[in-house]
Amino acid sequence: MTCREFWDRMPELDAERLSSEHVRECADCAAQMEQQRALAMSLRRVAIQRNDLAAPARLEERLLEAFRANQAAPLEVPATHLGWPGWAARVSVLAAAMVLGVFLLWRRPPQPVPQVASPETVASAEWESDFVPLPSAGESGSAEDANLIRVEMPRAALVALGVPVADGEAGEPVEAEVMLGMGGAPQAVRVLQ
Amino acid sequence: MVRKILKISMMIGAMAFAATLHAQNRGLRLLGTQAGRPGKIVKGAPYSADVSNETTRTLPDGNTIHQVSTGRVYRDSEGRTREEPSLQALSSAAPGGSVPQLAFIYDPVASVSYVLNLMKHTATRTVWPQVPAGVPSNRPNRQPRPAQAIAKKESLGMQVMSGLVADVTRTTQTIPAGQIGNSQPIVVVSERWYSPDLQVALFSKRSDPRVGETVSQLTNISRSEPPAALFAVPADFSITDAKARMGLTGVQ
Repeated sequence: MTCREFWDRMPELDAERLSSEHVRECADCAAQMEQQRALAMSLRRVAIQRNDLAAPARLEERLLEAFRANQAAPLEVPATHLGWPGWAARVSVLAAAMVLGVFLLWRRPPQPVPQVASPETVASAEWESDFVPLPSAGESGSAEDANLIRVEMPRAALVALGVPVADGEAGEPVEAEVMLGMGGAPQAVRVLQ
Repeated sequence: MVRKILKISMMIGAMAFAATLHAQNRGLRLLGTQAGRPGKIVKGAPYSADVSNETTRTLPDGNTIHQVSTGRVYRDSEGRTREEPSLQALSSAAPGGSVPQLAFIYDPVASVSYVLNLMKHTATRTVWPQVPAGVPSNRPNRQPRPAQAIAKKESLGMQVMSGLVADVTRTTQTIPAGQIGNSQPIVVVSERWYSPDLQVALFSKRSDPRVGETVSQLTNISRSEPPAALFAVPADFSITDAKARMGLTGVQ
């Protein structure tokens, strides 16, 4: 496989390909993949660390009001005859929708992995997203032992495990999902709140 | 009247404060579970063993962190698996809570997984789509990958461990100076003892100067067929079906 063929397959979306034959043989692609992985990991950490940030509470409400108002309005005029006010309104709603989408995605807590969906249908990148590998994660963390538990533990416990969390009260309970390796050693953690 | 209101308010305040303290001081609390599905179904190679994971890190100031977790694993001839993990590492990090005793069962014959709460005698069942034997899943390997630019894999031949022949390999990955801001090259060495008979790693060791040394090992290996009861839900357990598209199951 050439480098171009490898990248054409979008390996960023499939963690299995991170360890593909090509990556093992091609130092350049391996380094690029590693850089991408490190970047994604850093962004996830930033997201976790800045989880306390939030848009004004009224923003979502106002946007929803705008949507409802727009939806309630009759659309009798053909789109080609809207004129500039009509187009401006549509563009505004579209922009608002985009802002709302980004806002909701930003504020949405990490989604648990679907229980019934086949692992084959769950993109590996999605499965892996938001999970922060622990420093103690070992070699035995193979794909065949990805048992998960959802727990509540003090914030200080997450810090002790090596998970980057936002500053806060040490005893404050925090919800998290933990991937267990064989024997129960925690391999990765996803903070839920 | 005003005094009564003040007294009641103070009592409510004290109770709220106590409740907050209690909530903040409690340790680990289980909220939900999800059994994983093995990446590869291995038939005709039953075994049971103790599994241990040991991590040792030495910090720049000489301080050391040593963590050990142990559990037990089983697999029958049909490829059913059962894992009984200990949650020592989590309970150590969050002392004061109740550490659950769990068992994760995966039955590829019925394409069902169970999580047993051995303390509460409850089980949560998840039905999976059928996967042919030997087909790996798409679940990713969760181990953190070092920034690998130069990897060298060498075979150390076939060796014997715990009475089993193992194919031993050593992988040395070198991160050149400057690649991740490192002033000197970083060398990460992994060693793996893989049993072709059991199709499982008997031993693995990974030395990474950034995170220390991690050793995983199977011991007390028995190749006899484990009791069938280990792969079934005990009769006195109440079973709850996991809800579709809900991810983790609820509190057991």
